[in-house]
Amino acid sequence: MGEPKLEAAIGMSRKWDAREAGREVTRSTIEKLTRPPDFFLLFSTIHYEKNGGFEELLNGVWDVLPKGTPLAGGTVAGFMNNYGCYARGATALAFSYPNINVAVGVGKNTKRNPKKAAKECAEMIMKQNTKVDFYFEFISGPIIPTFPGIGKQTVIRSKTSGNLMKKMIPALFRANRGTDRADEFLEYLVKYIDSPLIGAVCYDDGKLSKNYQFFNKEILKNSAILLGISTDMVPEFQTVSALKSRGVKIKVKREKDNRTVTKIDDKIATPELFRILNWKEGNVKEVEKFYSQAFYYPFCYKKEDKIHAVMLGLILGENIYFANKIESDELELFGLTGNKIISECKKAFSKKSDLVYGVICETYIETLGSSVYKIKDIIDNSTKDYLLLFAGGESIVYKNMVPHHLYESINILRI
Amino acid sequence: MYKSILNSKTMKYNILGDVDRMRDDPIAKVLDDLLKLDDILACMVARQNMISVMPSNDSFKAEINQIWDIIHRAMDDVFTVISEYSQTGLGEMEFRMQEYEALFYVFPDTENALVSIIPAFANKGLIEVEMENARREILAIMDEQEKAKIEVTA
Repeated sequence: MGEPKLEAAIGMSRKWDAREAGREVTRSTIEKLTRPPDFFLLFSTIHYEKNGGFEELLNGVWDVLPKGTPLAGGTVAGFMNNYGCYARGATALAFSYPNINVAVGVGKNTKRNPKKAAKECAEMIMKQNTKVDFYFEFISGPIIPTFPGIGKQTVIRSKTSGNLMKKMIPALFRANRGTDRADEFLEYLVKYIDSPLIGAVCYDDGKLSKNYQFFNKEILKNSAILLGISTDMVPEFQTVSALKSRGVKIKVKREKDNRTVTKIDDKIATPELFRILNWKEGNVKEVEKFYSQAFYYPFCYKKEDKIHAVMLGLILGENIYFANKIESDELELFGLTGNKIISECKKAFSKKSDLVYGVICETYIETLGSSVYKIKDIIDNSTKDYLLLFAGGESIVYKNMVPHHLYESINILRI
Repeated sequence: MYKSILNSKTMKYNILGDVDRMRDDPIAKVLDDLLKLDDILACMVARQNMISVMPSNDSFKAEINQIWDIIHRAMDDVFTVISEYSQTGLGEMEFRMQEYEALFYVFPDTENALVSIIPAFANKGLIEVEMENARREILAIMDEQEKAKIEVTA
């Protein structure tokens, strides 16, 4: 008898009808396997919400998928696989391998209480008595808050209104709105787990108004799903960043939440930020304009050798509210260019591999647009099968169990 | 190979509102898919003074009506540039007018382009990926049609 052989299959559907797409993405995946799948990762863009709904997408999947197959996944901005690069459709990755066991954990209300959600997730995995070798994680993404009397706003320049809205942030979290808190979830989660992890933040088409997680037959919101894999396969993990320093360093004064910055270089934060970025209020007033620019001005610090980007979330009067926690008083302004993304992808995907599963920041596909096919050309030369997700944030934990919740990065699991 | 197909289509379909359009045209179906995206308000295969293929229901989203005339005029000017430079590798063009943007994905070495009108603050990167997919699909369809034509005449 030969050694047990890993079978990994990637499928896709571009059908608009949710049920038909569910069937097609599943059929096109599992027909490539000679054995039933041990688990099934399902991803789709947000478009099925208006074309039959995600319940129908999952119904279509379960019309075809063998009963009892563990299923996890969620919505993403786009994906790249052997077939092409897409900002609309559904894709899936299924594994079949004789030496594999799977445990699934779910944590709910990740924005309201990430600590409790992480505990729920981990305890559910532990109850399944599976020694986990690595994890896939999928967590709910950010939802732009709607403030009473103001509506959807990201830039509130009035000091009084800004302070008022700042006080409302805990209420937003209780309502499961606002930033994803995926960084906090990961910090709590690593207290319970002892194996590497690769994670993706679920997302929509960049409007930041909704996102969903898939767990077996359920469509979830504001949840985290953890898939623990027990196997004798030894995957390799890798993180790459295309961020490039703009040569501007700042010192920030943070509040206790580590998200609110009150001072930059001892000056009031908001006007100083606008001065540094050369922003005019009118140019970033609308939500779309704000985020289309903010994503290209990440302030960063280094943790171990990883560049951690902290993303501008809201302007609340004199204060700046960041979407994730700041772990350093000294930050550096970085930027992103298409050329740097391509050159870093050449490094990341140069190694010959049978399978690559990757999570890439949504900003990369936004930046590259149609040139995202240049990344595909690179991967086609080195990798047999691959699925790369364009997500709203990326989590990675290596064997040393230091949690890295990143933005604007590329994280890879390679077999 | 697809170039002669594009030229024959432009001869056949004439201009918007004066068409003998094949309802089962596979290229129109590609445009239908594009138009289903929320942020694509109008899309077509066009060249200067001529819309070659429209989505199969012959219409765009209503929001575009108020600005269509001026955008259409500006589009024709852009096609002057496309016809001048498409042979030298011009692949994409775009312009912003008021609250809208027009994206032109040129079919290589021709004077034709896939054109979409989108809101100015749409997430353009994601739309561009689907524009590129549509361009590739249309090129593949044209190649198939050209091959079929050659087989018939052979």
